[in-house]
Amino acid sequence: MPRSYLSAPVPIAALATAPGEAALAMVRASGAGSIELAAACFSRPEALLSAPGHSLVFGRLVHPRTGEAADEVLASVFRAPRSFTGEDAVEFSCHGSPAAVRAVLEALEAAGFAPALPGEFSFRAFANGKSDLVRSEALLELVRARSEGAREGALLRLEGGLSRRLEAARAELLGLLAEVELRLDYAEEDGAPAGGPARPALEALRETLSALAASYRAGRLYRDGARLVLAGGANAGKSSLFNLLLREERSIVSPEAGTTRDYVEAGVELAGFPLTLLDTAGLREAGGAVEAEGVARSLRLLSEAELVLYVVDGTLGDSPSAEDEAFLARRPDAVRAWNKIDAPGSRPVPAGFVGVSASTGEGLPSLLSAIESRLAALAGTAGAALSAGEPSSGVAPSAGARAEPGEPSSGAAPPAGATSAASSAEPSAAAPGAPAAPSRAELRVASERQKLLLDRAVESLDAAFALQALGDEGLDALALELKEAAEALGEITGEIAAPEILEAIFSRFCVGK
Amino acid sequence: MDYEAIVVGGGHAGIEAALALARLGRKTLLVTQDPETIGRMSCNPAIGGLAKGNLVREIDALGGEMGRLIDASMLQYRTLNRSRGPAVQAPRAQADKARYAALARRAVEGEPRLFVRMDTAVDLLVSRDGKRVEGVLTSRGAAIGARAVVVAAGTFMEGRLFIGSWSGPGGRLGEPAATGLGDALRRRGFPVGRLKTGTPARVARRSVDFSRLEEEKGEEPRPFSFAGGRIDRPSVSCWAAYTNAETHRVIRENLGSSPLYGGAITGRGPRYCPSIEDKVVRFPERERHQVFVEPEGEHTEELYLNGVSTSLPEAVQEAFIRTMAGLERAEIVRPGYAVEYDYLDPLALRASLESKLLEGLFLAGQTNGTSGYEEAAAQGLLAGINAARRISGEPPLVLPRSESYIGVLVDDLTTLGTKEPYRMFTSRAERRLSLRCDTADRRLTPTGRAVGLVDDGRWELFGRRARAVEEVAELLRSRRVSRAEADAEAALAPHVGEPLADAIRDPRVAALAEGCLGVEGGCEGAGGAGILRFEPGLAGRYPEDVLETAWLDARYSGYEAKEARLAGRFERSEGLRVPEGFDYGSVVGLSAEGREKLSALRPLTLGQASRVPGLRKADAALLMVALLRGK
Repeated sequence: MPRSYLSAPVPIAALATAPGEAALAMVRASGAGSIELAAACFSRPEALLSAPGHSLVFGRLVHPRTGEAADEVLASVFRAPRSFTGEDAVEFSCHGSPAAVRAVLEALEAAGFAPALPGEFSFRAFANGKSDLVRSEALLELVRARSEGAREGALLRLEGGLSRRLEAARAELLGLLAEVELRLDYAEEDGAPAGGPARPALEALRETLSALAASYRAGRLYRDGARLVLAGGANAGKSSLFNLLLREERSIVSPEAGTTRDYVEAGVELAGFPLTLLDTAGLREAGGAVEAEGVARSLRLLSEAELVLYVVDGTLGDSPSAEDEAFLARRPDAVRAWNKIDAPGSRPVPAGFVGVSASTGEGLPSLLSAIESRLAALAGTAGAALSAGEPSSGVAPSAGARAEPGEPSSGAAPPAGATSAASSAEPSAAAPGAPAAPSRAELRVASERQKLLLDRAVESLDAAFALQALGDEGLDALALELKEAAEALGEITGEIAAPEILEAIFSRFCVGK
Repeated sequence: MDYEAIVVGGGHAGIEAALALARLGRKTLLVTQDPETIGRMSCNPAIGGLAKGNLVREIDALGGEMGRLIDASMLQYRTLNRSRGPAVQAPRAQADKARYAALARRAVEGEPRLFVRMDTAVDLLVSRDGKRVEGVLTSRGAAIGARAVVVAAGTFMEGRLFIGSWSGPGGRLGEPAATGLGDALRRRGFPVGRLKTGTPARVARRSVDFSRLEEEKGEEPRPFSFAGGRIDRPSVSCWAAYTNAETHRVIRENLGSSPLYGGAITGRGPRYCPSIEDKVVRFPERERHQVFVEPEGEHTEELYLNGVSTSLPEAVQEAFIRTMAGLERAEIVRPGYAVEYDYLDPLALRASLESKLLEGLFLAGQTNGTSGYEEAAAQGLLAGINAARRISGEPPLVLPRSESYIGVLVDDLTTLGTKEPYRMFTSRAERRLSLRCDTADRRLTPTGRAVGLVDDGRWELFGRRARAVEEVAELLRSRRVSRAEADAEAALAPHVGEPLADAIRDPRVAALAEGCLGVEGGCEGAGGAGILRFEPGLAGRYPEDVLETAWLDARYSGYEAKEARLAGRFERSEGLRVPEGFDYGSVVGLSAEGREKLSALRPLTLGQASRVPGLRKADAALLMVALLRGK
């Protein structure tokens, strides 16, 4: 019978690091009696059994039946309750080859460990009171963080920032609710005051909650990132610009029109957001069949992508071509680059465009600024940081050519490049007063579940306002609305958790987490 | 067995228990120290009020007697909380105490299969293995056998009265305490504690100057009982007086001679019905407290001073009363006093009100630590029903919290216990909006019928009312808001073309129709007759209560769904049972305090566990996971 999170807890084990080749891998095992079980397949069982919590033991993991050595490992021993899960646990650092990992897992399984379900370790942490739901979800986000912004946000939530904010809001709501209940339970004659809860208090609460709910836009963007698609006429220099943004050779560049087939992807990070750059085929009448297919795919991408960077060859004329205009009419939010400003025949940069040279790098900071502005608008925030005076951090490539969703990026983004923004003029593409990219240090909600619950709380508060207009008459229903808002908040941290919800949350985790 | 059941005590709980048992066919004996005191009101000459009014209507719907008794003995009727929304409005009536008691006694004496014996129970008869009750032993030495016993001793068990420095045994002033039973129960290992309550002085009518008091007239009376027709009773006025700085000074100066503050009384008092000493000490910033001067009966000159319950010496009582305007020459007929009495911790009871310690023993009323006639009667009714079912071998009736205030009351008592006199409040119920007064019959009469307390006549009445309500509800669903109506009234504008039933979910529309919007002090007419604003013709075709119920159902339908959803999660956890002998130590991560509390209470369900006072929510979540894993 298949196990579920709620089955009786048995010792479990799983690979906790990303699969693939690496110097090291970590296999985590947890559960009552897991140290004893591990000792049964360890070359120095007494050392393991007598190891105090938070200590390291070196040895070999051995298949209990065949006696074959699986690998040399360094075992980190944890003793309940001082471990991630709250149970006894051993974490094995072994060699990072798929073969070694497989051998280690087989040995452990033979010793009696069950393969862990996705998120099962985190579920046990929750079930053992070591973590609430918000923190558990933050952990998930931290693991999946593909950008600095996502990482910072997750860390803030992990250390409890969001939980505390929510608990404070909930406590306040319950206080207001108590005031209303007082009026309901004591008749006017008994001296109970008339009138409902103070409107300013309710309004302040609503503001806090709705700001938190709105932060999901940015939160989600930090978490999932956005796609930035390069578009433009054939030979406008998209691929060169692509490479400039990426700062390394990525797509095939050649002077012949229509060289790039289909599109090439690369992950970068801009202002703390993960961006996926996509280079598309030149948009013109398709020549060969291969080109036609590429064009069709590109068109689809262009309409769906969150951000578009449209590149125009600045040597062809004083203003964009009719084709360019037609495209721009369909995506008025596109960032417009006037390329090849270094070329002898280049024309003056028209209004609404950023002048840039893909070959020399001139104008790049302004271009990045413009892209950042669009990102901020997408995130729907007008946060403070990345404030004036702070150099634009530029674009940092994230390791790995094609970032797959769900896979944690195995390397952190390298630190900000040396581009100095101080020298560049105000980019003409960015309107004055355009929203700056949101502060990475702000508390953000990054899970849809949390956002929906916050929305529910805000809805209830709005209903409460409507009832307040009726004065005392609406008090009985007002109490209910306040109660519902408080429940919604409690559900976020898991204070009020139904089993189905728990299962739904933890199954989204990856195995080993 | 001489009788099938014995009920100890003829107060509000005892009456309901005895009548229920007899009506369910059990030969029952009511043992009371004095049959003339059956149905006597110890304190406030009134029935009903916030949350209590709901209880009375539920008692009536379930087949109990209180509703009928008050309908036939009321002196004034008012709806409380009129301005605060129909769901929390409650009926309240002043009672003619003597008449109420006489009617109660007549009901008891007139019930076939119910017998009365003047005696005092001093101990229980218990089976040899100590597991079952087998009757009672009385002070005159009679050992009366029965298969079930309901103890509803009120404030009489080892009762002690206090006025100033005087104290003596008694259950009420002028009535002897019931000595023996409390101690016997203690010896048998029951969790017996002490509680206290108090009552104010009664003054003579002709010694009061009414010109200095504010008169409060009654309203058009409405029956508590669902079987009630037009109330044909006199309607008298009450008056409001106020304490003042001088009153408070007198009280403060004499606190030392208050048995409460002198430490002579150990029992905890009712937090929500504090003595005037309590009020003055706890709320020193209040310049005056309101006092209601209430007539005790049509044929007595005694007036009850509601709000100055006290146990100060009589001379001090006279002094502080006479500081109040209008009462300068008040003559005290009966002084206020405090009574301390034995009670049994209701944690030792099952949800059926049967004792966990002794099979066949049921406890009800103030004996369980509640305060109020209505709370007592509700328990008495349930205890009587379940005593009857114990005898016949049927499973007990357990009323869920989601369906009635009686359910909330019993669940709170048996889950949370009580260390001070428990009083019902609407906020104790999760589904306040669904537990309206006017829906009591829908919620409980079918149960009353199934149990056997609702006769054919009542059942027929219930059916007719339900059908009439459905007809009006259908009308509300089909009648649409017209353009003309919307043009005349801005609040209706967004609802043009909508069925009225949907439109009135908008609180602005509902309040408008009820004539309440913007009216100082709230609604004038009986809450909920807003439908007449749209369809005045209905006034002649359906009785007011039918219109009201249909209107309120529609008006609150959105909220009731919301309440249901909020409570649903709550109720799902009611279904998660905690296995017998569950080891809380096995739940990893449970706080030490949580483990202690849960082990002490031994809740039956996760729901009960999560309501344990002071239990952290995190502990409840961990318990849930542990229980689910165990399945």
